[in-house]
Amino acid sequence: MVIMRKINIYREVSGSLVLVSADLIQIENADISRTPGGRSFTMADGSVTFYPAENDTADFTLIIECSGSQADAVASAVRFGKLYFSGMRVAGTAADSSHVFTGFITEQSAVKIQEISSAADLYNLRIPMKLLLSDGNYVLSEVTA
Amino acid sequence: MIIREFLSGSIFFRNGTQKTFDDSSVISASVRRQACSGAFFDIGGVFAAQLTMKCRISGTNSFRLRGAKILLYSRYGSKSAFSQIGKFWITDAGKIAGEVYSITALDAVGWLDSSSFDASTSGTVCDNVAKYFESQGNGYTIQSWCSLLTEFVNSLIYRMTGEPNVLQWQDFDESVNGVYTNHFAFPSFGGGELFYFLSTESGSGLSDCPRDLFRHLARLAGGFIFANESGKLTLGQFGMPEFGTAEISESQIQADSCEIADYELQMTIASVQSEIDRGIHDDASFTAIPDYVSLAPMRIQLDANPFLDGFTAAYIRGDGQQIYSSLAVIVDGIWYFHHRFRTAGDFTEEGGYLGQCHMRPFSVTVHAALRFHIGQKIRIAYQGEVFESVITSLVWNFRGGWELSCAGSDSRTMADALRMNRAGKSLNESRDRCITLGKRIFPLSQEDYNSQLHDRNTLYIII
Repeated sequence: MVIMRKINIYREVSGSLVLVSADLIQIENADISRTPGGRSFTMADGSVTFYPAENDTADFTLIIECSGSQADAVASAVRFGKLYFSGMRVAGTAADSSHVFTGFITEQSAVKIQEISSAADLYNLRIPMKLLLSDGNYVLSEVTA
Repeated sequence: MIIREFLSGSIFFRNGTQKTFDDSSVISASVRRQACSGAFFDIGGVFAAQLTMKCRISGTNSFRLRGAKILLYSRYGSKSAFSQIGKFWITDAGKIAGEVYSITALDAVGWLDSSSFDASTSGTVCDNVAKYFESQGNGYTIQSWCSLLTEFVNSLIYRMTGEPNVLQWQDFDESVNGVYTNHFAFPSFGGGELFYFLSTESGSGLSDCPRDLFRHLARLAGGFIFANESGKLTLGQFGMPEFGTAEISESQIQADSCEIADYELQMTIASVQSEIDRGIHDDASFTAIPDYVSLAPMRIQLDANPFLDGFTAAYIRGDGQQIYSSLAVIVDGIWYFHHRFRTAGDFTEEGGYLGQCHMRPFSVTVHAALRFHIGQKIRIAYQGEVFESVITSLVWNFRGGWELSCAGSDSRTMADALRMNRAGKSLNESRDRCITLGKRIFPLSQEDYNSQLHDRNTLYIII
């Protein structure tokens, strides 16, 4: 399924979110592999004890279409290791446009920029990351430009 | 079974600022506490609890983290109140990536080591703690000594860091905790607890480390010194009644984690020896017939203890006001609470002493919404049998359960028997050499020395 959504990307500076780039177009909802947050142990009687964690995590690749300057801004922000995404659609999660996802960039070198059209200043950006799926504590009113 | 565990903590930086964190920031956390060194059971342990943590902390760096204080709390399930895990000081911090740091921290006991101080700036007081105390006054109960030592360490910490009253001593309160586990370990005579005097006569008290003096006191009390969860230094006991008995079932034991020895420790010899003055040795001992089939013999020996030497000087040699006949009053205490009485009626005091505890070495990883404590009695139901023991070492892992164990090597095995013999042999050889050397030393006055009324082949000490 091809989707098109406008998303904003932020990074955290001194406890509040600062906009990295706005109105990027998410063009594909890639598959995710979701991992329950927590650890499980097998007991001596065969039963299982599970320690749930606050957040489930998902390995996820964000695919966006953007201008060259936007691609540059996002690719530069990746070095901070942690980015926040509003308006993003992730398979298997509630489609809440106000939700802010927290994404950890695990392999910076894997961020790929592909040129679609230099005349149209259009690029395709693929950012693999680990998402915290239950983390929606930030509200957009905290965002500073 | 689902165990929900939550974490909360605060970091207090040296510059007065504070940061709080919760379980969403913590990648891993564990705290190790121990009353005995490694796999060997002994009394008198003074070990710092160690916190290791990987945590996401924003707006700081590893330099600011080092030296900061951490208060850590944990909560299980729907319980509204957090339980304090401990109070720690960060000794090492390193950045892993981004805002994620690896932290190692020690609790209050870490401050007792001489390595925590710079003797060159802390002054001559730190050069010899025992001599300092001896010169300042003498004669206190065990707990009073511990309190005094704590204040002393506070003065060192203040001199080094400018922070007052970092450490607190917490006396064992019988009215709160019931019968003191080692009720009998405190020598009493005529209804009152005896005082201990610090002696540096024999050289056993020469130390620049407060931890050594705490160890000597803990040995006399038959227990160990530790910082409790609220961060206060206190005297620990094996089989502490205030914690009750932890009950563990097979559904709480992690698969392949449980190992339980088929023997218990039996104290077969308790001996107390004091050496003051040349030629005056006082000792006392109790012995029991070993049960080699089901019990591993264990020996408790108290010697080279400056408080014991001071006790001998004051109460046996007669420096104090009252003279007793021997050190039996000390060894009685050690024996009564440590020995596992096999005859009903010897001592029947409820909630009692280690004599009513079983010291069975074990190690197990437990997953349960329970809090465990070192010195706590434990009852483990495993593979159709029930074992009783005492926790001498534990590791709490955030969302990873508790690793519990009881120390106690089997002295009947060849390796341990040889190890003990070698240590004993080395000790005896050193002692014999000193005695031989001592016999060659004669007191000589300065006048006689000047008059050359001495044999040049003999060692003299000029008085």
